[in-house]
Amino acid sequence: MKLKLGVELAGIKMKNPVMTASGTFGWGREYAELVDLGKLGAIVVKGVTIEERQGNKPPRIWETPAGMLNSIGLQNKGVGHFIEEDLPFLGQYDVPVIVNVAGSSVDDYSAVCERLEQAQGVAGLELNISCPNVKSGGLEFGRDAEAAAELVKRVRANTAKPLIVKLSPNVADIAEIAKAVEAAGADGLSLINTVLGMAIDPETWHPRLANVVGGLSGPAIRPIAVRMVWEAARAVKIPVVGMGGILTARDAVEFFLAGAHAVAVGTANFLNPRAALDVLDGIEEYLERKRLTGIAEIVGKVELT
Amino acid sequence: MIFQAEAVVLKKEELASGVYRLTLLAKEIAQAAKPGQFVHMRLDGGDFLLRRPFSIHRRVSARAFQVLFQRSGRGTDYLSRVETPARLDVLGPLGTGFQVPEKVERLLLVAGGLGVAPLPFLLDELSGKIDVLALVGAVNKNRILVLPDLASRARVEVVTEDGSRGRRGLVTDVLPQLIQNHRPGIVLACGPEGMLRKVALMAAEANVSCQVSLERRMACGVGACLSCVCRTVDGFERVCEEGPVFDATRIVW
Repeated sequence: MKLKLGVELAGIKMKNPVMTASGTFGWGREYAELVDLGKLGAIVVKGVTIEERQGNKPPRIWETPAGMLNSIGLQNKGVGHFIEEDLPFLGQYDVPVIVNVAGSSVDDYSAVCERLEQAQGVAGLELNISCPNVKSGGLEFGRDAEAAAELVKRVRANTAKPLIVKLSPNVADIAEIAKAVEAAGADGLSLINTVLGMAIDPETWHPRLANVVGGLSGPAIRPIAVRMVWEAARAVKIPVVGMGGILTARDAVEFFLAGAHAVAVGTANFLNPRAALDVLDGIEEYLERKRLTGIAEIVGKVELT
Repeated sequence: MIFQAEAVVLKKEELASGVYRLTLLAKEIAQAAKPGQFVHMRLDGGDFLLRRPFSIHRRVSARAFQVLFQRSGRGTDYLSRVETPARLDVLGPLGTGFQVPEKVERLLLVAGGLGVAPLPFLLDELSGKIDVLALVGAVNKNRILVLPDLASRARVEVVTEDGSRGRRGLVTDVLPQLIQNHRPGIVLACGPEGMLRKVALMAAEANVSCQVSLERRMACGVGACLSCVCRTVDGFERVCEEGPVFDATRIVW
């Protein structure tokens, strides 16, 4: 029995519903020797900004119980370099490339999207709205429904590409943000991004991260992520990509049941470069064991009674 | 080329209190390895734990290599308790190793504590024509490690902080004089960052090339996550990719 694993998400055709999460897979090159990129459902590359960014001062990471904090600071060589150097490399593989877009202002995001609109090999955009909006005192776009909607509206007006918006979990009401972003024109949502966290060295009294506060990822955040995917998926009609601490296929199934149409594997790649493919294999085994024919049979199927 | 391999632990030796040497069978990694490179090891404790990086200590055969480490935290504690023939998920060989220029006739190695780790491999691969002086320092005589492995291929000067072996003091106390006497074409150093910074300064003052092997906490180990960066004159660079070995003059300490 052939399983139906193919997914069309926000207009992007994927051979399976397992993607790699932005920030954990670079721009594809580094893992290409270890993983057959062509087997992935999609690759979401690390965020690109209009100008090159140096990123934050180190130390940039700290391991925490069942997870890690990071404050990389969006180090990247800028969208121009990405288009010239990384896109052609990725184009060798039969895998949709979704470009994560970051910025400090609405103008920044628009400028990046404009450049990508002309580029070859971009299957879709993932808008990283967890960036601080410098024009509003550094509050993340994603923490305010109005700012998020305004940003999405501006970008939407300038791009015909599938537009997925990556939501921040650092909000009181994820459904509110999800609805605002859907109304503004998003084709899909992805969540969750990292949860704000901090660690302090008891000997030196200094924060473990030079940036003081960072983003928590890994298994520790999975219950938060599953809950938010569930809340967001119930609130919107557009499809949802679920992520947050997925290590195994069983973890991924939780997200499908909560309402995700696809999942992304991130921090797990650090433990196992083949994590996404192992999750994919495990999903197939799960569906076969449950005598299900495809992914559609589990999406949103959590039983509340 | 880098490989993800299931390495078999062939041997575990405790060289000093809390210091271990593991011999691992992993053919492709052993064959591809170059001195100064490292492996990124998965340590399962039934828990989420990032991989830990370890210098490749020595290639002992066409199929096996060694790592040297000190038990200092959860990861190394787990590793210190593996029993042969355990299997370990190893990624490698990774990073940019030592680059000894062709024309170098005399080499000065500087190692502090566990900084000796990458040196036996380097010595094994060096042309027999190069005259090597190894300056090795540690807190006391018990922490002077793998001396016979170094002494078989180099003249060794030992320095201990308590004077229990060799001269009393730090490697940096004797380095300037050794540079002057030995006149190396290049200095290669590995050890605590404070030591490396001083070695770099002394080499620069003597107008001698210097390479240092840096250590940073890592997540992916393959250059994708940008966690392990150090500051260089050209911006932030990855210790797992552009390093761990760097031209000392490029580092912004």
